[in-house]
Amino acid sequence: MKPVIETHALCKSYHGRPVVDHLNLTVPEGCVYGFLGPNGAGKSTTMKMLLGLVHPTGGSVELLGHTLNEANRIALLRQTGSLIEAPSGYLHLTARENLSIVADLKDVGRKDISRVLEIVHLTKDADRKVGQYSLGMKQRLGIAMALLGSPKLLILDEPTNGLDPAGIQEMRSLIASMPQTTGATVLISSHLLGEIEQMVDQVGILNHGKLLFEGSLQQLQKHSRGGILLRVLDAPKATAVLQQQGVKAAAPADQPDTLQLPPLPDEALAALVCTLAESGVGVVGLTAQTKSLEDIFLSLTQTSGEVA
Amino acid sequence: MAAFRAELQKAHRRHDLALCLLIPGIIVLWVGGLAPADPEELANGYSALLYSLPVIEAILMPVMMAVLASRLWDMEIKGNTAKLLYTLQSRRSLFAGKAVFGVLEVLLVTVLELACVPVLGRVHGYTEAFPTGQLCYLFVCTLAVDAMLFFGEFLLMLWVGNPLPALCVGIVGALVGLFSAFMPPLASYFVPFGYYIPLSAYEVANWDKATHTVTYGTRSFNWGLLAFTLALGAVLFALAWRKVQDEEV
Repeated sequence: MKPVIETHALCKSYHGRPVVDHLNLTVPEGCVYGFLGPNGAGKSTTMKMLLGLVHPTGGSVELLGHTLNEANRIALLRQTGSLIEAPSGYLHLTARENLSIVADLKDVGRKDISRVLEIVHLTKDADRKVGQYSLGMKQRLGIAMALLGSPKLLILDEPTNGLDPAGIQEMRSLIASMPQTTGATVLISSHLLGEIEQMVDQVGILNHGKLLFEGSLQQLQKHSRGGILLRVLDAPKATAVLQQQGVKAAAPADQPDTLQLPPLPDEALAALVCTLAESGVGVVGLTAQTKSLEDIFLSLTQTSGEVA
Repeated sequence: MAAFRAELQKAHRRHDLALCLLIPGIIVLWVGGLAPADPEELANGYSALLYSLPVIEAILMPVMMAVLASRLWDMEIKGNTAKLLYTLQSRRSLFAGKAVFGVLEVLLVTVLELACVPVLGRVHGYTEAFPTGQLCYLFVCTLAVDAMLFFGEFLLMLWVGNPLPALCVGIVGALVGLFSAFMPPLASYFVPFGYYIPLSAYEVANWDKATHTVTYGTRSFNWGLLAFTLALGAVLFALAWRKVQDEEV
């Protein structure tokens, strides 16, 4: 799949402080790409640079196969829909009137307005003033504006912010279905992995402006292998055997018969269990610990360790 | 053209036309209530009207321009639409749409205001010859000062992102502008809000203490100040454009 977005050593600094630091991002076509990072990681700034709202201090952006510059920016962005930070909308106008303005500026036929209103379930409220809308309705209107003209790329910055659980669920299913229903590639940012893991195929994790991980959700899950819990009858003897074998074991204070081992390859683990059994420590149980995606995300962002 | 059409669409339900009618309405009520009665006053009617109009403008227009300019950008702030618009149209086209729309509103206010002059002249039966040249000069001066103040207030709105400071500056500007009319002519040149008065082509020629009768006369057009007003308007326009062009949202 050819990339729809590529950044090359993209940088942005404010008063000498780097906010985005040599970012190389690749978003393949036809996927939902989750752009993750804690608050202040540089996600919104990156998205704004992709849209030309913020000028990079270094590097370049390729959008839909073209290097983004001032001359082609609007032409490329007409094939892109975006929702950055809070949703937009003229409060004194109705949703339909707001969409008419966007459709005219995008040079899209007015017929498309009914289609996008249908997609975001706002048809019934289309002739109400946006000032009377709830935040969730404004978010959906923002998505409808982004969807006008069937863009090839959607850039959505934390679109579930401020929504109630039902609204979040609705937004999730709407976004997850977009590659199938509209053919669009979606770049969606969030600071919560759990919030978007059900709808994304690809993930990029950003912290302090640096990309810590980029790849499929499955690749990220490979890093979920945690330690091993070993339950034995004679913990002190088992600790001594493990020391002889060069394996560091920790004993949880609340579980005297349990030892925590670091992650080990399957063969090494099998050999170790044989040795422990032969030494008579009484192996009772072996439990593999798996990190949740949230734990991986946290450990990546807290240690700033880059993952291949 | 698309940018201007978008501005027209945005103006829907914002009652801009009613606002533009407000100034001529106030002038008709203000001046219309002071209808001259005796033949001497009627013979000096247009002069009296064109003398008093710049004073009324100095009181009303700074506030009116602040209202028009701040409303034009305030809807983008309240609707959080700047980010969206910058992805749909170039900054140049957005600014051009706003500038053309704003200048047309200013033009409408000025035309409607000065249209009151022949109307009031006819209604009150002024016997003085219609001062076409002076009225045209007043139109150009009023439009120039209005546009200069409009872009000044628009720039302020872009800077602070809040209509209240722009409105406060408009109100304070109106008071200082009016006050500057009673200062030496040189001092009034430092108060752009009150430029309507030093640009006026009319002055008090004679005031009869005994009869309390005022006779108005004309004075030469102040081309120098008019040129300075246009230059100041152009600078404020350029600064506002630069602000829109460079602003990161």
